[in-house]
Amino acid sequence: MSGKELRLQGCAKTYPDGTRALSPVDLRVDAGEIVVLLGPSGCGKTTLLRMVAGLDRPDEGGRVLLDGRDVTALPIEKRGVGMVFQSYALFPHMSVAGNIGYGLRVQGWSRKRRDERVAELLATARLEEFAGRRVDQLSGGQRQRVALARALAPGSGMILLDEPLTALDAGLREGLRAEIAAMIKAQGATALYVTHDQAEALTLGDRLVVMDKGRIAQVGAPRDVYYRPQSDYVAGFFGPVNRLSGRVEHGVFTTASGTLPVPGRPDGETVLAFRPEAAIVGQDGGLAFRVTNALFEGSRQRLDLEGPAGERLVAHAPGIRPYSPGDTVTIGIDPDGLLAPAGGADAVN
Amino acid sequence: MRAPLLKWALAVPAGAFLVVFLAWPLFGVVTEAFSDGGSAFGRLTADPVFWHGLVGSAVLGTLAPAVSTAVGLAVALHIARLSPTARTALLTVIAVPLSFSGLVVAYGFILVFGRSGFVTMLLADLGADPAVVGGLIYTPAGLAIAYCYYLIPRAVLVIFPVVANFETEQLQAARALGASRFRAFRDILLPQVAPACLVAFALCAAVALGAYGTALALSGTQIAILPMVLYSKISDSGSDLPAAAAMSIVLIALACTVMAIAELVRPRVRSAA
Repeated sequence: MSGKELRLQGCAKTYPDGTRALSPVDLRVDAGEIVVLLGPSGCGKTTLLRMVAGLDRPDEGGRVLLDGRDVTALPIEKRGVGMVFQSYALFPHMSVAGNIGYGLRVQGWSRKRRDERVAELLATARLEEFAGRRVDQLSGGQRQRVALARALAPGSGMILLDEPLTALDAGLREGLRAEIAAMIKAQGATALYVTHDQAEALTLGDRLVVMDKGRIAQVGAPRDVYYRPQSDYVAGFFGPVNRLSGRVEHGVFTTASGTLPVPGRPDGETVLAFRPEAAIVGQDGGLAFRVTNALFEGSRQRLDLEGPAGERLVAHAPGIRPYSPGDTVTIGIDPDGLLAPAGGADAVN
Repeated sequence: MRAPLLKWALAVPAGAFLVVFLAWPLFGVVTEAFSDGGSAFGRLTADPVFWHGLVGSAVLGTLAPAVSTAVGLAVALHIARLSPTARTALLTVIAVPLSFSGLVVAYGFILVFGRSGFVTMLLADLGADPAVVGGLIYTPAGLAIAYCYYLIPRAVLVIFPVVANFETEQLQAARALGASRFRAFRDILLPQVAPACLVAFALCAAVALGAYGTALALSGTQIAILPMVLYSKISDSGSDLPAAAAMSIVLIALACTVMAIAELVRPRVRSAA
C-alpha cells in the first residue's frame, strides 16, 4: 500500500455572499508525507481540507489532483480519501471492529480479507482487546484511534484529519500525537492534517503549511518555519520573538545594554531576532537587563526583562534558580538560535 | 426531614386523578365485561360487525401510523437542515394541528374530499366517478389519511430531537469510505433513528386505534372500526353494555400490545449490527 501524491492548483473558495475564504492556493504533498495545515480559526485551513475531501468545490479554475488524476469534479465517495474528525464521528450502532471494517464492507472486500485487514489495524491501533466493544465504552483517545484505523483500513493512501486531537485532554493529546503519526507512517499513507496547535504541528508534520487569512504564509519543515520564519506573522505564530537593535563592528554587536560577540555577522546597523529559549540567562559578560516580572512554570520560568534604553525581552530560564522583579541578570544569545529569515533580519521587523 | 413528606405531597394530586379517573373506571369496565359470566365475549365474537370493526381498526392502526412515521421522518430530516430560527418557527407551525378539534378537521375534509367536495368535483371533471372518489374518506384507508393530519405532527415531535442530535460528520465519514449518499443514509442514519421511528409508529398507532371524533363526524357510526362499533353499542337503542365493556378491553389490549412491542424491540434495534 502506498500513499497518494496530492496536488492543488489555483484552488480558491468564494462563498455565495462574496466572502473569500481562500485565495488561490498551490500546494503539493508528496506520497507518504504528513503535511500539517496550521493557522488560527478562519484562516482557510479547514476549507482547504474540505476541498481535498470533495465536501467543498474550489472556485472555477481550481484543480485537485490525486496521483495526477483530476478529481475536482468527483464527490467524496469516489475520491478514496479517509477522514478523521474532531468529533470522532464513529458509528455508535457498530462495534469497534464493525467501524473499522465498514469501508471494506462498502467496497465489497471478501469476508476473509476483511477480517484479516481489521485484525491488522486493530493491532496497529493497539485495540485488539476492544474489537467487540461498543464505541461508547471507549475513552476519547481510544475512539480517535478507532476513527483513524477506520479511515486507514481501505488503504486508499490519503488521509484527511480535521483537528483530531482538539477534543482531548492536554495530557492525552501529547501521547496521541506520536501514535497518530506512527499509525499513518506504518500504513504508508499520505496525510493532510489540520490543527491550530503549534506544538502538535511541529511534532507531527513532515512539513507545515502556515496559513493566514485565506493565504499560505509559509511552507516548510518544522525547524524551518520555527527558526527561519519569512514574516512577522509566522514568527509570532510560534510564540514571542525578541528583537534587539544595535550595531555590528568587527564581529561584535553593540547595543544600549552592552556588547556580544556575533562572529560572521556583517558590519553595520542590525536587529538580532531570537526566541525566548535562545537567551542564555546569567551568561558571563552578557547584556545587562533588569527583571520586571518572573513567572515560574515548573521546569522553566519566563522572565520579562527591560534594558537601560527601555528595550524589552522575554527569556526562558531553568526553573531551579528563583528570580524576582528588580533583579539584574546578564543575557547572552545562543548564536544558533538567531532567527535568520530568508530575506535577512529586516524581514522579521 | 420535610423533604420526603414534600415528595409524596407532590404526587398526591396526580395520584388521586389516576385513581378516580383511570383506575376506578377501568375497574368498572372490567367488572361490567364479566358481569354475565363472560357471555359478553361470546356475543362479541359471534357478531360479524365486531370482526369488521377489528379489520377496519387493524387497517387504520397500521396504515395511518406507517404513513405518518414516514412523512414525519422526512419532515424531521428537513427541519434539521434549517437555520435555528426557521427550525423553531416551523416546529411551532407543525404543532398547530395538534390543538385542533377532530371535528373541525373532519368538517374540512368533507368540504374538500366529500361527495360534493372541491377535489372530488375537480376529479369528476377529469372523468373520475364522484361516488367512488367521494366515498374514499369514509373507508378505513381514507380515514387513515385523514388521521395522518394530526398524527404526522406527533411523529415529527418524537423523531426530530433524535435527528437533530445526529452527528452529520458520520455521514461524511461513511461517504469518505466509499458509501453513496443513499448507502450512508441506509447504513448509518437509518439504524440510529429507527428506535425513534418505532416509538413514533407505536404512539401514532395507539392514538389511531382509540380516536373516534374525526371518524364520527365524517361518517357517523357507518364506518367499520372498533371505536365506532363500541359507540353504537352504547348509544343505539339496542345497547349492550357488557359487550361494549368487553370491546373496550379488546381495544385497550390492542393499544397496550402495540406500545409493548415498541418497548421490547427498541433496545434490540439499538444494539444491532
